[in-house]
Amino acid sequence: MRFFPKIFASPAALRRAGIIGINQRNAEFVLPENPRKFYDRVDSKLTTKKLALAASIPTPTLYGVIRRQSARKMVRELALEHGSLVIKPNRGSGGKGILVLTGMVGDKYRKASGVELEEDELRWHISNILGGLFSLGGHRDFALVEECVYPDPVLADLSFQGSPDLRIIIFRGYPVMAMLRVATRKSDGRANLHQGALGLGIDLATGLIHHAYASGGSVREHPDTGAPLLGKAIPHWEVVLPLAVKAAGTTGLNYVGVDLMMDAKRGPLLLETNARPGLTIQMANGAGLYPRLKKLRERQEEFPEEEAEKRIAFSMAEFGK
Amino acid sequence: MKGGRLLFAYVFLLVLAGGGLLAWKVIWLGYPIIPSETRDEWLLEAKVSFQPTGDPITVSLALPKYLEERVLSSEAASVGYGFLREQGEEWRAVWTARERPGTQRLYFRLRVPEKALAVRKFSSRGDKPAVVEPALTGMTAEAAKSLVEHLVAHSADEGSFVRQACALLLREEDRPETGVLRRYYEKRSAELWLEAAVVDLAALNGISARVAYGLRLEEEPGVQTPVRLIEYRDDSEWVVLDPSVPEEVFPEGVAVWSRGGGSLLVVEGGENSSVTFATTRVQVAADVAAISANHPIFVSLFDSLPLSERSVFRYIVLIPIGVLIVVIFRNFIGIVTLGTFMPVLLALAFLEIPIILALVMFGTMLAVALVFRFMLSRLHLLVVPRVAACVVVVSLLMLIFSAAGHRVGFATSLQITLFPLIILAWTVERMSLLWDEEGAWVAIKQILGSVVVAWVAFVVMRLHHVQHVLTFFPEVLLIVLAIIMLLGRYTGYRLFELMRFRKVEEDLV
Repeated sequence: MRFFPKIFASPAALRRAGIIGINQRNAEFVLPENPRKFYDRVDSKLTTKKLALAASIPTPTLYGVIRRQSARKMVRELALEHGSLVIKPNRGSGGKGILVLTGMVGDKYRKASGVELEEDELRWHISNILGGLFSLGGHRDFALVEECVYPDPVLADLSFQGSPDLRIIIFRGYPVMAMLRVATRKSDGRANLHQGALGLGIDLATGLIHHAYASGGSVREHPDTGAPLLGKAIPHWEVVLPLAVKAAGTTGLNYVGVDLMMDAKRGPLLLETNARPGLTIQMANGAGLYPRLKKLRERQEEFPEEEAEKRIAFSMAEFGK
Repeated sequence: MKGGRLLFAYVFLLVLAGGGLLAWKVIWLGYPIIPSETRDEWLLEAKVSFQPTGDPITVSLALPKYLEERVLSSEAASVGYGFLREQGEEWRAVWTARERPGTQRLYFRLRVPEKALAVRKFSSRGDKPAVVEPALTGMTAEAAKSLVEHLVAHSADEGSFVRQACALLLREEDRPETGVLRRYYEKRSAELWLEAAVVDLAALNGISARVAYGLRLEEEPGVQTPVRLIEYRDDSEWVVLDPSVPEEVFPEGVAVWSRGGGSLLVVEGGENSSVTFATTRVQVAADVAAISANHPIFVSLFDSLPLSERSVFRYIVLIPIGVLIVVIFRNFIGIVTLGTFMPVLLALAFLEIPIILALVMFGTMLAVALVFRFMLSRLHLLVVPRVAACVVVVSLLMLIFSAAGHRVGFATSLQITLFPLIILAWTVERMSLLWDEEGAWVAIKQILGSVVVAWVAFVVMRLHHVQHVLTFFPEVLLIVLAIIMLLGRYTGYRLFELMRFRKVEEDLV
């Protein structure tokens, strides 16, 4: 036992394990691998969606685009027509500004949390999106209205409220690492790890959850529901990786985080792509990214034109447990 | 690593250029790299501006004759003009040119030791000059006569007569005659009425008095108009006083610029002419002052700047240091700040205002503006008007702070420009958003991060050594640039990442 509580990890141990930090991620992967000119493809959700549709990648159905303040009548009609919907800023980052409406109660809207929302509050939220409050750099933005995804029951059971989402990192067309983010009571329905959500590492070969991480350290059960986490299988795993690789291919970027949601009826849907995927995926998996990235870089340089199925098979074989 | 070799080449060149210039200045020219004993000097700058009429131009500006022998350096900045200095009875700067387009600006700069500026009395060799009686008529003459009688009865000598005259004319309500005089002289010159009236009253009593000009010695940058003064002759000397405060012997912080009865400025071939002054106090290492006078521009960048820009220059050279500190904190330690370079601006504000006061101001402004922002959010305003409303509130708060600071007696010079209003308003907006989206703790953490970084930047920027080196050796900035470029290649862990990753360390294989 050490006398003082441990404050810092040993850099040497982290380096041995191949954990990469933000500086290294930016200098070695984001900056050289992701050409600036393609950033719009990942930053604008509408562009991402259009590219996905062209490549026949399933995404939540787009109901409409709000470009002007006056379009809230459209929201009412869409809400009446579809029952539930999601309003999100086109260029939002980190899940900011996403509003989930699950239906209407008389004149008011019902949010996912059950709280009712006045027409006036909805208008306010839309004006915030249009004003660029949630967008990168505060530029003017527009709002997307799309289908509300009802998560697959297997995954929904893992989460305390909220919808779990899948994050897969793709490097030069090869899957690198995957995790599932699930909400907890502490994270208040959100899937942000630093707010107390759980990160569940997924075995690339089998789609089984092999490791679970909360902000306090690794865990075995869900802190709220007590449900065992390890060994759970991600449904439709056989289509998840091909879909993620295809989605990453549409971006033109080499180092991409692909976010998917597992719809109960439609299976995996592409939510968004990310040019600077975070580093917590390493903690969720209890493994560093660097050895895998290095191996993939060599592989890709050796076989530059490898087909998607072979790339996926390579990753599954190399990085599966 | 791609680009690595190129980077090192650039860094090498930058260090070579910066270090070489530095070494040259220190070793060959003998610039002191460590600040030695300092002495106070004032840089006085007169700026003449006018609109040419198209005729040949002659501009003649009176200079402080009494400083002639104490001047450390002087220079006239005027492109396209012939320049000469008339030295004799008077000391005047004379610019001449045939034809010039547009508004003309001519500068004359003096550097003098502070001690030389304290002179208030000027000995005079000659006899008392003959006094010319003013030609007053009618009611004005009557009023003047009656005032002179009153003043003679209430004064003992030349000095008290002149002072009493000033005091009497300033308190118009005391005697009705003063009103008559004032109206008469105001008709002749709205600006100089007091001085002209005092000179004439003195003349009626046989005292020689003349108008003189001075300037306020202000450390803050800013443009001032000449201070009008009066000098009178007593038995042996000329004595200068400020007619607007006749009860004081001589106001502190005012220096005499020109005296002797000549006009301050004569412009031929121009109209709408005016003289303004700017002053700066410099604490110079005694030896730098001697060296820096006549070197090429890249050697003495600081000395080649006009006065009003020097105090800005001092901040400009400090900004890269603040930026360097931000880089270290973000990329090596991993502290998240609200707005990347906001801490540098905050640090600049700290340099201007006492730090405790600055923190209190910043905290209060942020708190009040946040409360206001939350109130606004209920009104459901659109984004840009909302931020604009926040700017207005922040402006009002700044005004209140300046006024309150003035009242209480400290911080007479709150540098409003350095507390960037708009940035503060956006900070409030971002912070309240963060507050809504990520919780109060994240928002407060980022604000604290900003304050910590700003504080460290402030501590470094305040160091006397740092300021000295950067002011006199701006080439050091090339080295700072090289350092920042090198730091840009650091790909190791950030300190906070080591904290974040400590829980996983045990899990790792």
